Amino acid sequence: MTCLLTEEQTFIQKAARDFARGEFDDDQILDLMEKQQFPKKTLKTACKLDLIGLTWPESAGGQECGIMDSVLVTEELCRRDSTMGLALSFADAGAETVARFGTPEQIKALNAPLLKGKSVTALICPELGQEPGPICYRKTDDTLVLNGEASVVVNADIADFFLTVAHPEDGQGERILLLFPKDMPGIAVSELIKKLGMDMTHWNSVKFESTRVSTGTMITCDTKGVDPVNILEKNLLIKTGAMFLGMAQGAFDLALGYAKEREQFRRKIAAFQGISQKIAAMYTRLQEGRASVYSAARACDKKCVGLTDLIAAQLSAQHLAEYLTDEALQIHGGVGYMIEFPVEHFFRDVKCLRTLLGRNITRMDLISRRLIGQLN
Amino acid sequence: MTLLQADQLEALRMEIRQFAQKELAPFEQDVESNNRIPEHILAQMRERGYFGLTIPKEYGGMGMGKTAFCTVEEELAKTHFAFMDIISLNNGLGSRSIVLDGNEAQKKKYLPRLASGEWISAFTLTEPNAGSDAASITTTAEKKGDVYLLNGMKHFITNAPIADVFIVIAVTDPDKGAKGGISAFIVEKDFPGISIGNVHQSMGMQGSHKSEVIFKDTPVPVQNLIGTEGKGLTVALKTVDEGRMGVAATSVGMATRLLDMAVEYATSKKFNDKPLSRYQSFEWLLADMATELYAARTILYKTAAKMDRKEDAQLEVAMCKLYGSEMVGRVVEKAMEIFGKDGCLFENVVERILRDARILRIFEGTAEIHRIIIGRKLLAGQRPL
Ligand SMILES: Cc1cc2nc3c(=O)[nH]c(=O)nc-3n(C[C@H](O)[C@H](O)[C@H](O)COP(=O)(O)OP(=O)(O)OC[C@H]3O[C@@H](n4cnc5c(N)ncnc54)[C@H](O)[C@@H]3O)c2cc1C
Repeated sequence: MTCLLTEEQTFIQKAARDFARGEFDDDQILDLMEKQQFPKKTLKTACKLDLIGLTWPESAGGQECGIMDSVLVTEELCRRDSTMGLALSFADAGAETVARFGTPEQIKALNAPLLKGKSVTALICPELGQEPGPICYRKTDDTLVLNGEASVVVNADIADFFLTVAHPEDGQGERILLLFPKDMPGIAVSELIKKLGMDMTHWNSVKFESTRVSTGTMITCDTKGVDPVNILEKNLLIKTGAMFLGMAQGAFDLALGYAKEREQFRRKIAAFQGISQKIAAMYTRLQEGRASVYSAARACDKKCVGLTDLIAAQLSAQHLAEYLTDEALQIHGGVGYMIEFPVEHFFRDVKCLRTLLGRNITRMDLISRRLIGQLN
Repeated sequence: MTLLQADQLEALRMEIRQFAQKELAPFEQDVESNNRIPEHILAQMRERGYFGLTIPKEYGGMGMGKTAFCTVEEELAKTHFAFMDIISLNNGLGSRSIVLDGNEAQKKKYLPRLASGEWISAFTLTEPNAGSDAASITTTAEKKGDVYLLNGMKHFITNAPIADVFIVIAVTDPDKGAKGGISAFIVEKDFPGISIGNVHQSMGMQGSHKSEVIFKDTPVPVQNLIGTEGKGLTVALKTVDEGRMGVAATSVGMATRLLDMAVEYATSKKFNDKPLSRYQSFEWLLADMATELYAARTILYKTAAKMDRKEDAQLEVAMCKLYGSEMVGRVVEKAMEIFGKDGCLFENVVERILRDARILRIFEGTAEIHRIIIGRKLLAGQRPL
């Protein structure tokens, strides 16, 4: 499938791959995981190499690359290591939406530190299909009063900015998108939430209690009336799809490598047909998932993709990643269960990201509702 | 061996269940956070005789049959895996070879201590290059006068850091290898030249300790050879075979806990505006969980009964372990979907069982090795009964 990439995409893919191979260090990864630490240094290097902020307009300091390009980067990062890859990929969550819809001041405030690897955004966005979300707003003159609690917010304690979707308190009006710095009165960020995986990505709950922000923090529709929250949702779907795809590919690499190395019964285990068939089945699924994510990403770039196909692509990549990490762990036998072998955290990270995104059932409901429509 | 009647089995189940609920459940999270079982719980387990459930009465145990023992394992596995794991070795791989093939002196010396829990045992077979292919071990036991000198390295040995006694499988005749060249020994931790290497950190199984064990010219008295020289692999594989029922019983116990929790969650928590249980999606997940669990439990106790009748049940045992361990994997997946984000949080039992249950498809013979065992027996004309 790589032969279908443009020359520029091949270049970007290679840059991301070289970066991940060169900069990610397995011992350091285990160390950061144990300390539950965000990989600040690696983020800085990634920023220097322009691997973060790829899709942002040049005016915002970005590369003006397409979604497909950014999918390739996310895939490569998560492929080399799931925990590090996810941490880096979440660092600028939602920022591309700011870059596209924000005012010049908003863009500058957010992007300047972000692009230097100095800051991180935390996205407070309801689970797809959850209406209304946990955070609501009330408008008084030129201020918005925010209330509510989001039970899991990625990187809230280390973020400098919150990018928040809020719903009208009285149910009248539209959901809005807000960007504001974290150090405001009325915001409480909980302790770290201990969880199954994603050990370099922090989870906290965040509570707003009569938090007052100016209406100037709103990120509004563009001149064509495109809603930034819609775009945010779409970008997240494709990005998380790319994360799953990357983790699946990474697990596949580990499994194939180990099966060709490990000997039992005086043979490489890849020589046993039961194992070689697993490899073939894994590869087949990987190709299916990749086709689905890549075509959704290309359609994003052509602005001709609906939510249905994006969810379908993401779910397909998620199922793929769950299946591949599980099989890859199994192929490792006992060592697969030990934390010094990376396949162990690939397995946990996929499950952890899966639950972060909400239940499969919710996303399936969104697809089916669109396909079935109204029944009479 | 004394076989319990149905009413006695039910009483046993209730006794263990009450103990588990009252004494063990409050400490599950403690085990998980501190990676150890509190001493007062171990003391209670010793007092109740849990370390010697399968050891014959004349050596201080309770002489339980397979059905009764699986019942205990199932009930304990509903709490924290470590509570079940800590008693499983003394009742299984750590004592069975002595019970089955040991001489009277060995039985008298070791079994009462294992039964009382005064001593903790470890089963020491796997090496870095000999996992599924156990016959290719290279740890040697060379006879020198009235001792065997042990040399070699084992890994992934459960209980090794806390064990008082090791059942060690080693090569006594390299020329014969698997065909009569492997023997089993009882090795006490105070014998010279034994060291504990790297302690393994794993995805799950907190409170259960595993490590490398290194033998360097460790002298083992000839009287500590189990059975006859060269029969060690047969002894080992026989006990491993029996022990696999423990994996199946654990799978059933864990899945039962998950199902109960999932039903409770689905009826008490809301999805959108209605309880989860009012949606077909969740209802059907529960239906699948329960159906597979029922199948696994049924073959488990059917096979245990066959073993209690002293009939050959190797084929069925392999099926119980394979199906049980894969069943609980699927049940965890469904529980994750029901619990949503809650299922991913550290304090949630679903999260813990997800990590703990993953080992069940790997140790005591991987799922792949079990498919080989089952396949070969089928092709040799056997069928499960
Ligand atoms: C937590 C834990 C506790 C343990 N406790 C103990 C203990 O107390 N005592 C002890 O002695 N051991 C113990 N073990 C070791 C355990 O029994 C082995 O890990 C297991 O037998 C698998 O061996 P391996 O890890 O070397 O995997 P390998 O044998 O290397 O297997 C790797 C992969 O190859 C596959 N494979 C191997 N052979 C074949 C074949 N012929 N055909 C097709 N596929 C094949 C396997 O299924 C697996 O997927 C423990 C292991 C763990 C992880």
